[in-house]
Amino acid sequence: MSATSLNPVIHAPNRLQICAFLSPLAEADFQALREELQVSDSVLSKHIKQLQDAGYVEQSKNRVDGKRRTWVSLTEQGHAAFESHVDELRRLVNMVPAT
Amino acid sequence: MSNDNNQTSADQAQQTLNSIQGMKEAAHRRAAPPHLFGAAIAALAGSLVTFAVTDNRELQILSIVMITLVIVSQVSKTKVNAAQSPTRLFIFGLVALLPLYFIMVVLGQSLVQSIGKLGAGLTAGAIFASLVFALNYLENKWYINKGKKGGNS
Repeated sequence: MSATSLNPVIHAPNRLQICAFLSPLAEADFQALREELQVSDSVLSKHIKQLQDAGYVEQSKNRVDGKRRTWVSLTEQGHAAFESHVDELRRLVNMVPAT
Repeated sequence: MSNDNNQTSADQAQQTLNSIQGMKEAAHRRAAPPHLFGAAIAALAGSLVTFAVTDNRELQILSIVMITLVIVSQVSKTKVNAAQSPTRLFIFGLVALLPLYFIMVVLGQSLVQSIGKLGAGLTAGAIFASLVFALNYLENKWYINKGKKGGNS
């Protein structure tokens, strides 16, 4: 795939899935993300950290029923980067005329 | 050769877009209130009307506590917060349900003479429960359709 205009931070499959899952939501629990992506805590943490370092996601912690829960959400910058990544993918698909 | 490369890129991009769509649908499925939750809330809302008509204050308070507990448990179970709820349904819920609750209580009280306290309470309660369940059903549909369309909010 032509990687010239694709965002390398978002394009990795797990990070792309994290952004796609978070895009229609205000926020999601860390556990929900882990269940949907079917990855381990450490793998998910690593990808969230990379997205956080790029300013694409933010995390908040609170306690529910005595349990500590981590909520993850896309930042405005993250929404914009994800949308532009999706637009670029659509452009790639439309580049090839239908046969 | 260049055409082959373009075709491969387009195929891979399409696969990626499909996986994005799958994750968006999963997010919307989680945000959609399940029918069981709708049924529980509808039954409790109906019981609230029934107990108001039969003038049972203690059970009315119990219904309110139960509604709160069911909502809290549902939020804790879905593990997601939706970015946007169906606005028109939300406004309908806010503007119409509260007055409807009082209308159902008045309707129930007006039926007491003809079908008795319990019968009137159950009738008004059943009508209100049906309305609440219909609202939940529509909200569920809204989220699922939004997910299928690949909506962003």
